[in-house]
Amino acid sequence: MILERLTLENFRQFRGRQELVFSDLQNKNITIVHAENGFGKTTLLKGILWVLYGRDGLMGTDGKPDDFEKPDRIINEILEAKAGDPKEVKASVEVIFKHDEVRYILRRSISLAQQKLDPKKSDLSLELMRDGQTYKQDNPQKRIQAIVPSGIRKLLLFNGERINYLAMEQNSKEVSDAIHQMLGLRLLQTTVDDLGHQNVRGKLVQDLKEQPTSDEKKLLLGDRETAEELLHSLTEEQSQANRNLDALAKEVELIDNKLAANRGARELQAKRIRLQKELDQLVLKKQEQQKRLGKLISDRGYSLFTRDLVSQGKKLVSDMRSDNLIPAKVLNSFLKDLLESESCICKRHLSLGSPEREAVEQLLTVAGDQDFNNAVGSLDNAMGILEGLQVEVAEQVQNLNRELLEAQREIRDRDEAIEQIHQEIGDQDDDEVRALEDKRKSLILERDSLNSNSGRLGAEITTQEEEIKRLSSEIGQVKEADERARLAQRRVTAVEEAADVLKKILEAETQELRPLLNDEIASHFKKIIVRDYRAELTEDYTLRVRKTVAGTTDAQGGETEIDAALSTGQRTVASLVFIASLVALAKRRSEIPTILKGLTGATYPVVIDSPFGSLSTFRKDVAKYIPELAPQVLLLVSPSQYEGDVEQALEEGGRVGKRYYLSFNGKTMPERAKSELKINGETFQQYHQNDEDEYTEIIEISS
Amino acid sequence: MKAEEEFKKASTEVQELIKMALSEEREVMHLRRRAEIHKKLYETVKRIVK
Repeated sequence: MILERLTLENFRQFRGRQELVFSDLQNKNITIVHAENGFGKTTLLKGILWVLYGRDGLMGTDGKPDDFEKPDRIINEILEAKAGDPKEVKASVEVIFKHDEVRYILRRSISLAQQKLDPKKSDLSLELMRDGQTYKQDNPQKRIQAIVPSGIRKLLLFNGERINYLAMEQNSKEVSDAIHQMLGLRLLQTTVDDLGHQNVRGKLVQDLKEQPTSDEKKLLLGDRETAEELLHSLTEEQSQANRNLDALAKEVELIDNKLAANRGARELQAKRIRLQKELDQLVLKKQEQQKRLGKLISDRGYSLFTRDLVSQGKKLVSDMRSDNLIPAKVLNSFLKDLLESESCICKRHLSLGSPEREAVEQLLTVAGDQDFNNAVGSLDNAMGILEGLQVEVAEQVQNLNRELLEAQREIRDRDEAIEQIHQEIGDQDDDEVRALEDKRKSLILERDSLNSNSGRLGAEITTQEEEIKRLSSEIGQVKEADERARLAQRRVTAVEEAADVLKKILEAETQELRPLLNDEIASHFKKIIVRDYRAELTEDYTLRVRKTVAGTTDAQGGETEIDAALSTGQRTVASLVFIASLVALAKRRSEIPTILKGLTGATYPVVIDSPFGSLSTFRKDVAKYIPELAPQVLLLVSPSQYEGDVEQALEEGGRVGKRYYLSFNGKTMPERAKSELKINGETFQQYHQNDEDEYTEIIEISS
Repeated sequence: MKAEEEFKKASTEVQELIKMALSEEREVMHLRRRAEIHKKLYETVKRIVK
């Protein structure tokens, strides 16, 4: 999909007909809209979302209004107030786009009468243009879902100040979901969910219960139902615990900000923040070391327990050598051939009972076997390898243990220093500071307790999942006498197996995509952050950034790498890189093997509201990189985020194809806005005082 | 391809069920209302496993 033109008509503050033509040139793939906060940037983004998905597009992914107030008031409010016939007053958004070399015109509109009756309903039309002819498409929403599924909208049309959530450890599910959505695997997960639903599997289990089943099976079915109910309540409890943890983290952050703003506590608070960051990093480092140690022990740890075996084996081989048993001087197969043919190589007859035959038979007691010769040779070689491995693994274990002890010591040091700061802040004369510190301490204690509770719930969830699996297997094994019960059981087993196979397929396909995604992520990340850092997607779908520690070596002799504790700016960069990598893979989807039929490559644009807001020191580097983000990029940017480094980087890159600004007319200017806009040395009047009216216009800046 | 291996390991009946379920889901996967697809899937299982 490549956007060509957006037309808004009476959509929110965009009164009358307002038009924006996107740059569709590959080498000038950026369109910028400059606008002060409050002038209509977000409304422009929501306009695109509304035309594509209707009212659903205006809501957040949780179905709540997100950051868009009054989503049911689509029609310009002043026009609404002056309206005569509510059927005649309308708002609409039209977008013209190209997809698979075909041009489409998508138009959504709503009348005031409809808005009052049910704002969720609107009129949608989709026309396809081919060879100069226009063809109306049936079922336009379905067609749009096929072109740009609603599941990927949060990856393509988003607020740049909020996208950093993708690089948070706790959001690995969002990351794997993003991969599924963008690369066409969502179908598998939806099918798994639906097959396991109460109205599908649940109903089939109910059918089974209603059959004349054996007492044993009835008992097992009852047990499984209880286990499933328990699992459900544990999962709910864990989600609630995690929500509480998020809320607590925000409360702590609020107190931290207040302490940082207090003159008396500022310095200590800054030190605590620094120490806390170091502590977080060290904890991650320790976890990483524990993981490596675990892997080393499980992969090669056996070698440490083979010392006695190897020395015994070596002695055995050495004894056999000294006894001239190996290598064998005469092969028993050769002697057996002679005895069988009853003829010696010296031409003597080896008849039964003859002394010649006896002499040859005597030789059999010292003869050896060629296979045995070979086996001893291999064994000897394997023992040599094992001996070397023992030394290597013992050394690696020792190094890792040393690193672990060092990390533990550093963690203890930071803990003590943080505790000391708590004592010092808590001992200050300022009542407000003391109260804040006291509150902070109780929140931290509550957080630790919640964390431990969440961990306990996680372990219980795993136990219940295993129990359900075990019971399902037992249920399937109970033989039924009644034909109807057997059939009902077969149906339950089939639906469970189908869901299980689909889960495995989904996991296999996602895992196969991971290295491809990692290649993309690595190459995109290097374009922004070059030194000492590397981004990757872990096996459990955490988007993480690794940092090399200069002057250190790890157990394998390479430079030591640790997980970097990320700032919001770094997380935003990592999230943008991840999206860019998905967009790039989606484009060449048809080249990547999949079991699913009909997955084709797709080109997507990326639309970002406030792209540079959370980037801090990375603004310039991201601005340089942004043309690489997707084949087409629309940036909705405020002057304060644009001027300076971003402006310079975008100008030097020469990739901006079209440029607009939003001109606001109204009684008062939004807070902190300026009436004039300066772009590349030119000045534009972006605010016009108007006591009678209020509206926004889209104005093109000619290049 | 591992996904294909996993699919082939399943019985013919389960393979058929997967194919049918995926083809029915493809049309409606984006819809919020799931009642109809649930009903369809339930009937599909009964039709395939006889």
